[in-house]
Amino acid sequence: MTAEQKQSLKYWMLRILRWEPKTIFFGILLAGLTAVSGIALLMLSGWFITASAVTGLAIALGLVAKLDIYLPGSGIRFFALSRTVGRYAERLYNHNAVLTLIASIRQQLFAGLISLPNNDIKQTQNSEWLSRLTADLDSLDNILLNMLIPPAVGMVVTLLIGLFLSFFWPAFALYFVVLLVLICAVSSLLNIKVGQSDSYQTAQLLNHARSQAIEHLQGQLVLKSMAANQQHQQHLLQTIAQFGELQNRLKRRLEHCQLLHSVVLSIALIFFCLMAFYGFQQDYFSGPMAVLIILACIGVIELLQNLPSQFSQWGKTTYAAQRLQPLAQLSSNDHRLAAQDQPASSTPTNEEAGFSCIRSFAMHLSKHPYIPASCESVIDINLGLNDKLLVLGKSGRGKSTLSELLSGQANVLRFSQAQCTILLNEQMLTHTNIAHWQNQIGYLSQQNTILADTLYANLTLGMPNLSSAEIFAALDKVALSEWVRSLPQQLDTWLGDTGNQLSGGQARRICLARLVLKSPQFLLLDEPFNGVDSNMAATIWTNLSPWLQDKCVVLLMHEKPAFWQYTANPNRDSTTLIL
Amino acid sequence: MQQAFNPPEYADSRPKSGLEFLKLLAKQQKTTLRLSVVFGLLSSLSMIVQWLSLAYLAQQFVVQHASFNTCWSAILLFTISTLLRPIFFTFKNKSAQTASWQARQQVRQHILTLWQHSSPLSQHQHSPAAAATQWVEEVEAMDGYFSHYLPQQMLAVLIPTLIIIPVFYLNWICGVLLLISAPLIPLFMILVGLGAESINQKYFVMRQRLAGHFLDRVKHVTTIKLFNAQHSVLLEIGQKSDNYRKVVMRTLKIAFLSSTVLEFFTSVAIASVAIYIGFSLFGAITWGPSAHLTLFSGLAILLLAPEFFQPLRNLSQYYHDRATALAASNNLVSSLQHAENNAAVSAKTEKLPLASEAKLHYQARDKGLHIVDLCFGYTTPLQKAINISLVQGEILSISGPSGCGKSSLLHTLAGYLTPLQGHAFLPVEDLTAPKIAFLPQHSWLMQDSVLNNVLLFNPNVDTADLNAALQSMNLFDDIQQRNMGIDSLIAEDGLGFSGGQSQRIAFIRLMFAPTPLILLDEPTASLDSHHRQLVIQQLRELAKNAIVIVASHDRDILELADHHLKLQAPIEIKSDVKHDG
Repeated sequence: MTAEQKQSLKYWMLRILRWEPKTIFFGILLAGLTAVSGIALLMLSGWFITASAVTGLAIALGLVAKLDIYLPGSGIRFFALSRTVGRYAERLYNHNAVLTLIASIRQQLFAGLISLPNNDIKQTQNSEWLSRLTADLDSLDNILLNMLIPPAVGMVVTLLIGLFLSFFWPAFALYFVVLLVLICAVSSLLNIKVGQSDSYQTAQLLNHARSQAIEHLQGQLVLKSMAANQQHQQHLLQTIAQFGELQNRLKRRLEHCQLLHSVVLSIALIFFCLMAFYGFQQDYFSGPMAVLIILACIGVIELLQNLPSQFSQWGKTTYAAQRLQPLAQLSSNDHRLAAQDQPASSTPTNEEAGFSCIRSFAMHLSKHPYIPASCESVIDINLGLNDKLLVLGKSGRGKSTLSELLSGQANVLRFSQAQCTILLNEQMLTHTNIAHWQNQIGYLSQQNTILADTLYANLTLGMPNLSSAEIFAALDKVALSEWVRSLPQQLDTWLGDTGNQLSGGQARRICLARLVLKSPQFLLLDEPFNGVDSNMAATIWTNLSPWLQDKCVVLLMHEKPAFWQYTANPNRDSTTLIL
Repeated sequence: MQQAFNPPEYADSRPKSGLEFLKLLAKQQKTTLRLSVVFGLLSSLSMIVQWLSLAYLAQQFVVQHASFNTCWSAILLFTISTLLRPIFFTFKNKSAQTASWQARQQVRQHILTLWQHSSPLSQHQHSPAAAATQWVEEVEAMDGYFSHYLPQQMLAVLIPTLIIIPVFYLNWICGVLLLISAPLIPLFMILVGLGAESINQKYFVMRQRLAGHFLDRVKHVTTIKLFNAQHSVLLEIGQKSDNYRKVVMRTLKIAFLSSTVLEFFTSVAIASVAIYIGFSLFGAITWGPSAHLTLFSGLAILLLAPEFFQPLRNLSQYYHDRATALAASNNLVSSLQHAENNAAVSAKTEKLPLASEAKLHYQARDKGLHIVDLCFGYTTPLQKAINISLVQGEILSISGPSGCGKSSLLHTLAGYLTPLQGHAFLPVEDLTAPKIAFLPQHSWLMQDSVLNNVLLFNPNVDTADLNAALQSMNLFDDIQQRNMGIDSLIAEDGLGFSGGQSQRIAFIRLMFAPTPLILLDEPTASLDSHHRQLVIQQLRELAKNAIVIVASHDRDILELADHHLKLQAPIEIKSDVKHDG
């Protein structure tokens, strides 16, 4: 295991431990007391039976013997109850703690994600990345549920029982604690050592198998026609066979570790039992006490039986920890983030103040690899406060690339100045002022983004104080208000997977209405009427026209739409750029 | 170790639910699973001997004041049984793991075969990533069901039965006590389960929404940033996660009661057995079999009582594994049914590659490709019937506005889409060789070296030909400049190579494995004018020995073509029809 891997696991362990040490401590205490109750129940029962047997026999023999049978009886009932209640409380408490922890980690990861540059975020949008994130997040539970709580509980219980036994036979108690702690420590270390690299690798192989399966499915159009499915499938089968081999080896090894641990514990149990009988013979303590000691050993050893296997996921958890760490660390300086969020509210520096209101935008583009037209001649775009620009381009002509560049979504600053320059208020676009541009434009990308939430939340994203009149005015413009009024729950209708399924056209119009509500000065519309028929498109455009009048609009389309002629402003230039 | 896979096994009894599917799989692993159960029983048998001998030793030492010398045989028995117990237990786990691996491997094989038999278009309906996750993770999620739950399900009945026998022998009252509690436990657990289920149902949608909230927001983080809502969404995530916790805890409060019921019975059984035995031994209870109790029998019963409940407790722990596997299996069955229906349609296609039923034939009849009365589309024809004949050396270009079905026509000719009417013939001499090559619009490359990608379908290309081909596509210098040269890796999503370069690499692959019919979908879409000319030139070369059909907007390609098929915009487009961006 590399230092880097160790470091990331340590990072998460500390992150969890520091998160709420009191909660974790109390959880361990509760679980420990429950375990002790269970063992005490057995101990007291054994003692009681033996004491009764011994006393009963003595009385039968006519000797004078006394035993209060009611006090131990109530003790037994008490432990039976405390064990049951303790177990219930402990499980609830610790599950609550894990869920709270996951909530805090989710927030941290999201904070990290939003502080990433837009270009990097793009890579996180595919479903493969998302399913990996889910799997990695799930693995993090392991740290608290397997690696921290059970070992701590095991040790606490061993020490407590050891302490109790030391009142009766200190030497035995010492053997007991030292031997058991040693066995558990060695077994756990062995388990980690044997398992970590294989478990890390199986996690890796599984991931590899997933991307190979994706590749296989994506290649079906090509592979099937060449009857090459069988051939290409081999890679996939190889990976999964390799995974199986490794996983089986890992499980076999872990099983052997467990066997070794169990056998050593069994030997310890035999040893302790014989010791107890020996102690009784030597008259160190009474017969009932000997049985009590034996039952204490049985109880503690039973508890420690599964302790090393808690570490069998070490490698897999490390794998997840390592992948989540960079994202989590990004959010470490939250304050900087907050400042970036509201550039207007934070005290602007002189340089920044100039961009709180952008009045003009200019882009110069030459020889961009994905925009063929820019290779033939230089593209210059100049936009003022209420200019209109129509960009026409067939698919593959770089229309989307251009819209990504204009919206600042693509990494504009990566290019040399000769290739691509953007001027805001006649000043060069930089890393600091790009956020101002992004905040002041309205960009409708080709993909519809509908959040799994209510219609209201979807429309008012980032605009918390809108009235329903304003919302319906916007819906009127995209000809959706009647549809919304017809819905049983109107604006509270739930959209997304578990809610109302939208058609592509409805989703498009909702995205458009969201932009209308944001009402930015600069509008960048990439195929705004995808999935909407041409009559409806013309109607919506007419509805929008008065609102568009004093805005700067860039419209990107496949073909020149009929409605463009009567767009707004005959006095001003409305230019057309053909890609 | 791995058994040969035989799809008809499933075809006979096609599982309708996830549970049926799991049971079917379990049936195939019957022997291994039974072996696991046998070892589990042996382990329990050792445990019984272990506790009986320990109780006997206690009796000997404490009551009879025996010395070590007289107890050697009992000590030996105790030692052996104590050591055998974990050994049998290990064997039990190992068998179960083998069964689990074999079952999972079977499912994977099954899915792969279905993938192979269904049209590529059907898989593209779902996202490949989701399908891959199913193949990898969801199958993996079944592990616990086979390796823990299934053996334990049998053991939970058998082990208590095994334990009750000596308890009855030692003291029938204690036996009856345990026996009465045994059916009570499932009863209470069912009651608790029903309670939990109704709460679960009540919050089902809410729970699902809250559970999906985080991933949904991560998925849409770009839009959230565009609307400057990142801060409010960040707070929202904390809030929703907290709500999720509350909803889950509400269910857990009831669900955990079921394990508490078990815990309660175990505790009560130990306590009542201990008090009954203690009172009997003391002489406070004298009726029934109490008089015959000794420290041996009393202690043995006390030790066996918790073991009586332990298998049930384990089963309830593994119940979670069952739920996980069931969810995964339900998911799988529904998508498998989808794929199976699809595979059934194209089942005959496999024998006569790339022809479906009698509608699309590629037979050695007349030379050339004959398209007769061909109507294509998903449910309604996208175009009027097409009639055209092509011979080797001819190029057919297809053009038309987007959405008119250019790609659909190519898919129909490739056999991926069943024609609605009419047919196509393609005579070939060698029936075993691939007949059709398809170059999709988005070039597909493997995450492998350039070399392996180029030689995927024809590994027997010599270096001179390879270099010549790379030169002809103007890739030679680009590739030589890289550190690894021709062995440079093409990473995920063609990273490291531009769209145009990828397109040209895919084209070279096609050049090396020419087929009688070559279908190309927008082969020049992502290329600049210089590279477009190179591709067109090679297209001409390819056409010398093949029939080439190209869907394209490119004017130069249209000029090159011998025949031209101009498709019209489809007759009607309904508003608000689902449209994929």
